[in-house]
Amino acid sequence: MAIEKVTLVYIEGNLRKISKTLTKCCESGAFHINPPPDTSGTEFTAKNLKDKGVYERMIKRTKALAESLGVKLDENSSYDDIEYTTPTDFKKYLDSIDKMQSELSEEKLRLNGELRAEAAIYHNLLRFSGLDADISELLTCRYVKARFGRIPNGSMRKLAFYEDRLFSFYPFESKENFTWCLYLTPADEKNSIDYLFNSLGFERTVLPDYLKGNSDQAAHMLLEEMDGELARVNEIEEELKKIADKEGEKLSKVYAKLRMTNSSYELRTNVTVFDSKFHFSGYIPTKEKKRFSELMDDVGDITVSYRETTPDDSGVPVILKNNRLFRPFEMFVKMYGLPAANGIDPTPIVAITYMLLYGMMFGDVGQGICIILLGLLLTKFTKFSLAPILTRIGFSSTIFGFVYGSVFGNEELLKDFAIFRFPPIYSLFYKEAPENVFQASTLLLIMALLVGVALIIMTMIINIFVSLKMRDYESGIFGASGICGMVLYTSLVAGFGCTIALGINLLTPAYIICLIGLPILLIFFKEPLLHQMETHGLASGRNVKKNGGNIDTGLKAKLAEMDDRPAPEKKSVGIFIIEGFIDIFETCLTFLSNTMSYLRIGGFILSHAGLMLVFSIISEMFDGVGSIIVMIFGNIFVTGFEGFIVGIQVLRLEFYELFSRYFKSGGIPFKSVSMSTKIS
Amino acid sequence: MANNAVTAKARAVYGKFLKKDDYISLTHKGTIAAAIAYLKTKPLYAGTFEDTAESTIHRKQAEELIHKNAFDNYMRVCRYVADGRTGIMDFHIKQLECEQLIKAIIAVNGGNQENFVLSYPEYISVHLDIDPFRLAASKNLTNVSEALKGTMYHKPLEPLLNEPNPDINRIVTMINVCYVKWAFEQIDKTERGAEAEQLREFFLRKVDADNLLMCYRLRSTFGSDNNITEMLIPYHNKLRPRDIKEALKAQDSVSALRDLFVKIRAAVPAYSDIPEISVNKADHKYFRHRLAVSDNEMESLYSLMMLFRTECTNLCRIIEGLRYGLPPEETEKYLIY
Repeated sequence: MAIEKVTLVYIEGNLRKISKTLTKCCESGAFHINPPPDTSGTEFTAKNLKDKGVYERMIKRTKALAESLGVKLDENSSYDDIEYTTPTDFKKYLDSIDKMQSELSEEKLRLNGELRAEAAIYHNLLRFSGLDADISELLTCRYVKARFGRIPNGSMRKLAFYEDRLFSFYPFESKENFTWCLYLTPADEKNSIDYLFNSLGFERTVLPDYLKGNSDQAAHMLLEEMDGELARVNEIEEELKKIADKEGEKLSKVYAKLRMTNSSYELRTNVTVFDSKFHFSGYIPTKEKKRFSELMDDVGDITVSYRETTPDDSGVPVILKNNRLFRPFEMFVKMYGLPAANGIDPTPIVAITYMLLYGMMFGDVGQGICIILLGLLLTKFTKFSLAPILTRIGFSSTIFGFVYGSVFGNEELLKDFAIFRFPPIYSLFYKEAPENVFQASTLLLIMALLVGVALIIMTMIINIFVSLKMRDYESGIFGASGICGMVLYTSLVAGFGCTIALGINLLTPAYIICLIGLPILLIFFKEPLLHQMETHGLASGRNVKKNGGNIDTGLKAKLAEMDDRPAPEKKSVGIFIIEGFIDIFETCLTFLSNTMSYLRIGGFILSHAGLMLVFSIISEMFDGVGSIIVMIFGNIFVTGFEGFIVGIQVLRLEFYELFSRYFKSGGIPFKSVSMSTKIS
Repeated sequence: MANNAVTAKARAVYGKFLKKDDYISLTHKGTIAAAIAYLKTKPLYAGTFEDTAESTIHRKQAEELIHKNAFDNYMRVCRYVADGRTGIMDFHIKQLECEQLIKAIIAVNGGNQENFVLSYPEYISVHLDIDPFRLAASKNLTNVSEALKGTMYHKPLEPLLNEPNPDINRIVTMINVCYVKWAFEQIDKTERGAEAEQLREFFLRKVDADNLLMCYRLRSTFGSDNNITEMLIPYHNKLRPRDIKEALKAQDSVSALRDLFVKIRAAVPAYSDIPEISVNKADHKYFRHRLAVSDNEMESLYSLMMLFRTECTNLCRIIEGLRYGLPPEETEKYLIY
């Protein structure tokens, strides 16, 4: 249950050193920067450094240059040999590259534009293949107007109706719904004929009048021209490639340095200037202290102070620390919310209970091994975050498969291993050993309830430990998952369980008064009791951590701490009694519903066996290969469908039944500043 | 007869129709090019306008493509109609045929055949019994009568077309009568019971609306007095001829006719002051409902056809509004959704 220890770092120094200090912080890869303290409304006139974004434009410019040169930039390039430090240095270098390539790039751009236009014209010319007249002459005729274009095939028949009108029509290629065509008309008639053709859906294709000769000759001429231009484009690309070869590596290094410098520049928004000195604070993992200290020594002329964090500190970022087995389950914890820095990391509990519950609900040796293999494959070839979890739950599924004696749904192969056939266990409920899971359903459901009770009591113990550690006495002593709640729950379960199941009547008056009545009374009177504890100094108030411990030493330590805790609300006796009753009622109802919720464990054991039985019956209807195919399909379906649903159900149990009892979220994630860090 | 393929397909196609927000967006587009670019993003129109350069498209061309798209989609749904019932599925084609025939006769009568040919949708030619180009080539209505030989229109129209002074209104009425007769014959051939009744009601609803709108238009716009009742299509659903005659005789006959709209379409007054729009809105709502609830293929097809007509009318109004720079609010008044 480890949360990695972090150390508060406070840095101050001369403003000249700010860039280098921040760059080193970035390079450390282990520095979480704090936002600047709010000094408004205080006697201190500190100011924050503003991010002017001077390097952002240069980064964009570098990217544009790299694109035109065809250079692939690597933001992780080592830039130790790049000596540029000021914006002017970087600008001079970029100007020199720009000068080398701009003329060539512009010419290439122009030629590409021309090539595209000519390609479109060439494509159009092919439509008029076979035209035996000079296009240029046709288009420049004084008394006759020529129109190239296409007309919908549906309008061709209509044209016959207008054969007395003054135009000559020449169809060319006909494709799909259109016919490419040329019509000629006297200049005097062009308006009426153009209108007629427009009405018939004619779409004009504009051909340039510089095209000489008939359509084939013009197309040939155009091709030659395009070849020339293409050759020039290739020449330009060669020249650009030479520049890229010469300058590409350096450009990439400059880009990396610009990005790092820009990132450190962005971090300036978190720096406060006071008394002509910069101040900022942050956190590093305690284990990185030595390395960080060495990096800061390189800067020189700055003061770096370290302080170990304490449980009273607020705003401390959280790094979860777990071994390889449990680490993949951190994902589930992060989905719910990080634990508070002074709380506990629930990852190991989640990992153990998740694997345990999954195995219990989806226990099958064959299918478990398949899930392990799938998990291993996905872990090797993808970065799918669920893959390592699959491997672990597959392992658990396999173990429980032995417990249930199930291999790919076949319950005969390992029948003798099945737990419900062990005499000490089945003899509690049955005279003879059950033949299959269905015959042992009562036993399974009761065992599921017992698992639930055990998990609930376990989470109550964890909650008591965490709450007392955080000095939250309301939750730790008087809460439904506190000491009172645990005594009440355990007494109720033991009392009713022994009376109903074992016939031992524990519910004596003394038992009821001491172990059921007293906890209820304590829960009922928790508010006045807590108040009394506060008055006598036994407790420092509820949610003591809410405003406790401002850890920024230095400047922030100088700022007056305001206590904005609200005054306790005053209640009438009636309201107090009603709230108390509702509280008790809700607590008892929650105990019941939470315990019953674990019945799903037994339900899924039965549903798994039921689903596999269905496929087994279907496979018996077929012979040979057909039977095998049905069983393969059945196993794939059950593993995919039920395996997925069980995964969700276990997660639900984790979040709703377990986390809700002991987990205190609200932790701040540790984010080390880096080149990609965006500081708001 | 229930045919889930047709009803499901018809509903799926209707699902791709434009919604109110699309219409509002289109009216605010400012240019036809922008409207076409917008339609290109809609599944029902993307294919139709795919090859079209929106910057050069002509208004008439856009309208024709919209109508063609509706026709193609309708015919695609018709492919699922069961064998032996394909006769009645032609009611859309027959209606288009009647419309083209009316346009041709009006064009020949006015000596305006060129415009008829220009606006004629060539893509329906293969489905028609009449030859529109032969009709357009006619010098007079007698030639039209000859061009109609061999079609169901020839016998009833021949005396009217060969009159020394042909009455176009009566000819139009006769064409509409031919259409309703043909539809009823088809229904009798293939449909039975409640399904046949429902289909008949579809046609008679239209007859009611056409009759009343004609009377209202002639009386309110032209103040026509004589022979209005002679031009009525001799069928009715809720609107009996006696009701029309009484309304025409009333002192304020225009108001009396307006009141009759409530009789044929219960919700009409709630929609608009313009009777045509009101009737169309009521019909749109009615056919949308029928398409949603009916499991009869012919009902679904008929409803889809009517909804397609509304969609085409809306789009043509929007394009017209954009072409003439009408304010969006003005165009929106005439939209049906």
